[in-house]
Amino acid sequence: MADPYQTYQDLIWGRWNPLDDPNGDSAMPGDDSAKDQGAAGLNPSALPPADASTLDPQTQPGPNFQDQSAAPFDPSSIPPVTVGILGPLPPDSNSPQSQTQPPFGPSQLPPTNVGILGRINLPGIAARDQGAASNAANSPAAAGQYYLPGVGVTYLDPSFADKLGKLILAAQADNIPLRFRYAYRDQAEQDQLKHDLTAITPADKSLHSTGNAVDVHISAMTPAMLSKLVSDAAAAGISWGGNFSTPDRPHFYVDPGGNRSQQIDAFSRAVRALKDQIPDY
Amino acid sequence: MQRLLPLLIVIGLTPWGAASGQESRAGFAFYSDVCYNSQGGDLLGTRIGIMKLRDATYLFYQDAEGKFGQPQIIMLAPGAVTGSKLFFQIADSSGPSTFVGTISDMAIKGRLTNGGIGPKGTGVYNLKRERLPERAFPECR
Repeated sequence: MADPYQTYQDLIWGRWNPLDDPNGDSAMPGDDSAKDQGAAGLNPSALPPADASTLDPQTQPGPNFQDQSAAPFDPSSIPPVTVGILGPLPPDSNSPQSQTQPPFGPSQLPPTNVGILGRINLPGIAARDQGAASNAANSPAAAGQYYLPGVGVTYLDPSFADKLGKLILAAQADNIPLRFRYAYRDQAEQDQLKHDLTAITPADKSLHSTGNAVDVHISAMTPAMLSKLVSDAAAAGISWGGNFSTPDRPHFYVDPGGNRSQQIDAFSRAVRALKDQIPDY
Repeated sequence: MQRLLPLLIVIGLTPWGAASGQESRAGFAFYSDVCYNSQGGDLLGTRIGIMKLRDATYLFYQDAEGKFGQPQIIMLAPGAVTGSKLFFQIADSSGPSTFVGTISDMAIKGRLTNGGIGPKGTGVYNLKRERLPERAFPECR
């Protein structure tokens, strides 16, 4: 009977070298051509395209699976992503203030207000209730709830969101496919990111936890696109993590200065107050 | 040498020594360049696992631009691992990208053919072979 511990060791501590194969065939079983191609040039065009249903990792629950041995890819099958500028959420219908106001509609959007992109057929959130959240938290910090493409609903400092809106519009004008990966992370999540997965540096106070930073999906961008995006960000008043002493190129932020710990506490209180006001979507 | 011989015998009899024979048949290799950037508070990089199973070779792919994104499991096409060369296709919200590079028992190195700069923004991938389970991500340098 096999020793399960040894089996575990095989799996987890394995020293398997993909190039070591007792049959001298490092390719897939049944691929008789592989041995002959050992020194041949690589031909990426021979790779069958992926299944279009797996193209948007953000919308796929759980791990994606692609069988790249079949399934031709049809680009037209990608759901269109359309942008629109959205403004504040409708006021809370339960609040006395909201009962005196007309129903919320696109015509109410302030033309110079926050420019956050939304997608058709998704909740047009891009919202904020800055004053209420701030007052409820009895704190000078303000939090707004926004919708960001690639992220979904998140919380940002409204002043940062204003700048982010400008960046989004500028990127759109420059044909930069701007999508976000992450925005607000509360301190617990930030700590978990470090404590569970890293043990080298002490817990830090990230601007993600004050609603003043986002991570942009840069992987598929070309250097020219990223360069243009960085200049657009600078024009919008947003700094780039690529200029850190240790570059963090997906990271775009505004550092308001001051006591970071107090800002995180105040922003988290404002977020909690906002969550109490706005139901989950 | 006389002193060294008993030591070699002992090592050969230990579980490590016994396991090493099994390890060569394990069929799983894991590579990563994921690190933690404390200035931005972000995880950055890519990790790839290659599983050579009976029916096919599968590749686990996950990158981090702040935090880990959605993992992908890819059944490699015939010839995707040829000699030291490796290529596979990654699904992305902006369309599929093709990774081309080399693989060894020490590292995976490569790039995206569409000019994509990758999660670290450098344009090149250089993933070192790692043991599992992951214990800590190093500070980015």
